[in-house]
Amino acid sequence: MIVAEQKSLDEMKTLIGEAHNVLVVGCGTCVTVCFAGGSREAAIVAASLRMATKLDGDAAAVSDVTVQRQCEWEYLDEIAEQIKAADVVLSLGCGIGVQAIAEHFPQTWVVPGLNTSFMGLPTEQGIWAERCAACGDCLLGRTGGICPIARCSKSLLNGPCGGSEDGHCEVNPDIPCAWQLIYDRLSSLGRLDLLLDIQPPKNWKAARDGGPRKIVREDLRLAVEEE
Amino acid sequence: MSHTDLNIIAYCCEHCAYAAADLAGGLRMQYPPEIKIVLLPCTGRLDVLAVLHAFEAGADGVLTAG
Repeated sequence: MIVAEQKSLDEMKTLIGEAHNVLVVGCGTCVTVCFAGGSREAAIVAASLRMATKLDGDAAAVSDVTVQRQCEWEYLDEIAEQIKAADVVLSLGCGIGVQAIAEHFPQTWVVPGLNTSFMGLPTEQGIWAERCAACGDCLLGRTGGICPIARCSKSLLNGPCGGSEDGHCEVNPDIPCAWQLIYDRLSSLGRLDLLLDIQPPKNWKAARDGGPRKIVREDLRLAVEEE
Repeated sequence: MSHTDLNIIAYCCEHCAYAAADLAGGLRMQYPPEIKIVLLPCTGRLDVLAVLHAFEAGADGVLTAG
């Protein structure tokens, strides 16, 4: 899932500025399950902003609504009237949700209520950890299902480095050394032979280094009607 | 703010605190009129939103008992 954290109430207040009619828009997907921007969080943020602006002497009319997915325009169409009626939309979606609203409603001022952090999973109640860096050329098949791009601090392809100490990373002892994890897993599965293949430099063009990415699936596109 | 201006919302569990308040009432015991009791099926049901709504509606304090 995409994991995000809420901005502070002070920052949200700054972002909505002097707007009187504020719509807080939650998202029912990733940020719901990481407890950052679901319907419950949207209601809490709206109530908090109502009280905070009232205490500041200029009470804003803050309402909230949550859609199943902010990152698809079809779901945003369901709340189009509410969005258009708002002076400012405070999106509790990830950065994609914020931009989906901005793209779909050109006249709407939209601001983010979350800091989008990473793609990861909950490792225990209340803890989320990064697992994927969306590098665009997955190599998990060579590393026993443990990603050295996302989980090694240096994204090494042929690790570990000299900073690996007792299974911990030199960058932060709280970070397990990804290459130690890879070695341990391949060892337990009897696949250490995979480590004998030295990986050449990675082609980062499929990652962000090639600029903004786009996927075109001709098999899924709707046929263009001929005039 | 004088004592009687206070407005306290008390979220009470049906199975203990609310029952205790009920019993206290049956025994003609007095408690301050500033306290308004709201019955919950369990205080585990108490959501932060309920607390925020109480404050937003003008409560000076929220008491939870369970």
